[in-house]
Amino acid sequence: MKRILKLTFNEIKHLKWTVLVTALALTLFTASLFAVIFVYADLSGNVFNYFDGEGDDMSFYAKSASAKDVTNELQSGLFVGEADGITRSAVLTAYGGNSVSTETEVVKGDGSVYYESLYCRAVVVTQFYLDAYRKAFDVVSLPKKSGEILLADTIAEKLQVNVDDEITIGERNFTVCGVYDKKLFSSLLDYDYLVSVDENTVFSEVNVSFNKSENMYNAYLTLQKNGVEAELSGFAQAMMDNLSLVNGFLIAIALTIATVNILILYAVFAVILRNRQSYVCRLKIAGAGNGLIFAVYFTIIIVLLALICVAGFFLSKLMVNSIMDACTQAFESPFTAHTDFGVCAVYFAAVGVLLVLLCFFIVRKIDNKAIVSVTRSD
Amino acid sequence: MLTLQNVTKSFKTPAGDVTAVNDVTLTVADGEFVAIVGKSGSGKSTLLNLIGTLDTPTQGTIMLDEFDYSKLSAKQIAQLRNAKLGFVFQRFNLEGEYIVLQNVELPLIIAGQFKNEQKVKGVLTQLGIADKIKTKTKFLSGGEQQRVAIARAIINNPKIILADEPCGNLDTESSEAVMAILQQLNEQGKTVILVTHDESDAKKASRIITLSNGKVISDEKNT
Repeated sequence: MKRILKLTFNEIKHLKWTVLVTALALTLFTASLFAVIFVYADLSGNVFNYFDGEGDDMSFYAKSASAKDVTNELQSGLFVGEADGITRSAVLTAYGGNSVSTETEVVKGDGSVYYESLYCRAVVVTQFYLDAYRKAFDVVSLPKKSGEILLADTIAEKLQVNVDDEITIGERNFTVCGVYDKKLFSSLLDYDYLVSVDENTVFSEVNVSFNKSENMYNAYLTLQKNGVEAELSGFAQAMMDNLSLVNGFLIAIALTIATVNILILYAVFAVILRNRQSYVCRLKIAGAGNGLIFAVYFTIIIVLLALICVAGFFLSKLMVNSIMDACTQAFESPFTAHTDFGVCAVYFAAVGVLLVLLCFFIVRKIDNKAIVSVTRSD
Repeated sequence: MLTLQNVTKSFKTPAGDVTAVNDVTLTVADGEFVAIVGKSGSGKSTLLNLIGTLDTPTQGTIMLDEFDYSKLSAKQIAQLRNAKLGFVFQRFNLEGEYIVLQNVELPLIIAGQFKNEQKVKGVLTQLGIADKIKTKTKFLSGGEQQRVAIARAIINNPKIILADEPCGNLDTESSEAVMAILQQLNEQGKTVILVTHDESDAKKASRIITLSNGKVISDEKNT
């Protein structure tokens, strides 16, 4: 080991300018490569963040999706759709003879799924929605099973009913399980009543949106994977197309830089060995085997690569921070990128293995013929 | 003892096969000073390279003491070269950017020895260039460079010194100095095999082998 280090040290001293210039050039290339990879890795998240809050623009449509289809995957989302079997208007009648007409029907599914119908549109209230309004729901008794109904105080007053009284909607009979203050919960329960329905209720067309557009896209992919016919809104589709384009562009840049990087390393190494062929031959004449010579140049290349990777990593952090700052200012939205040292390690390992193979190949090419040519007299 | 038995070396060239060394059989005893002479292209250097393990024969066997070259692995050949053979070439084959110490200690480092300055200094003193130990070899004269090459050849105390036209690039004075060193090394017990086309250099050897077209045409003691 010591002899390898000693010969390597001598050789690095001899090649110091070549090594230095190569290291500087490749550090810049490698830093650029890492920066592109880091930007690429977080690009989708940044773009999704940028489009968060775009509402219907960042949504998708699902056809023939049941409440179960959607809610199993979309606990953080909310969807509005055309629900089969939900009436546009309803007449509520109390046994005392009072009745009231509404244009709203709110229905509740099993467990945590609630359906609120509004002008023939249905909204599925998911766990996310419930959690947000947990406090409000805690003070009213939600319908827990089929046949129960939660009434707005304005309706209960008109019907003159209280908890445990019975009412009918059309042909269906319900028991009042609670009465809520419509004014107090207007932002949440801007409806006249809630009832429960089966989670298999099928929506002929559903528009799904999320607070986080990234969740919307993941839900879209999940539903598609589960066989639900889904289609992104025009805006979302255009955004995804552009994102794919940019991602493809970044991958192409990364591959190009990586290839150039490897080619430069190989070329430098090949040129060094070619220029140092006489020296290698002298080493062989003095009794060095291929293994020792390989080890010397292997050490040089690995040390060089390690330095390039580490320096490149830290330089890429600076690059990425600058790029993200510029994007944050340009788009007025927080753009971030995580720099992962693992990328550096993987790159080091992959390129290292490749170069070691090339190094082995080149060293073996310096054979007896080359040695004899060095020893030849005039 | 060095033994060559029916050694032949052929090369393939565009013009056809060329036999550089043709069925050579000879023995060199320990401590001999042998000059190999012959015209240009007679196969002298090829024969020296074969003896020095720098090339492999097409046919025949070469043995140094109990070591049959053909039966040694590449690693063993490298070790043999390091421990038992020292080379001196016409073109010195030094690293110009290395100082004298770095050039001379190369075989020692390969052998796994690292504190070499005193040992190198001792050899350089013997050769009269101890004051140049820290000088880059590119700044030395031809004669000095050849002494550095000789120092490198003998630093590992090899059994045989193989010198291929060591005076070819030197002026008369330096040539005489180098030949004197080789004689001195021979007197100290080293086997010296010298390839030369210079008659006066060859006459300093105790035995002269003449090659022509790869064949030994004469092998005489030099009295």
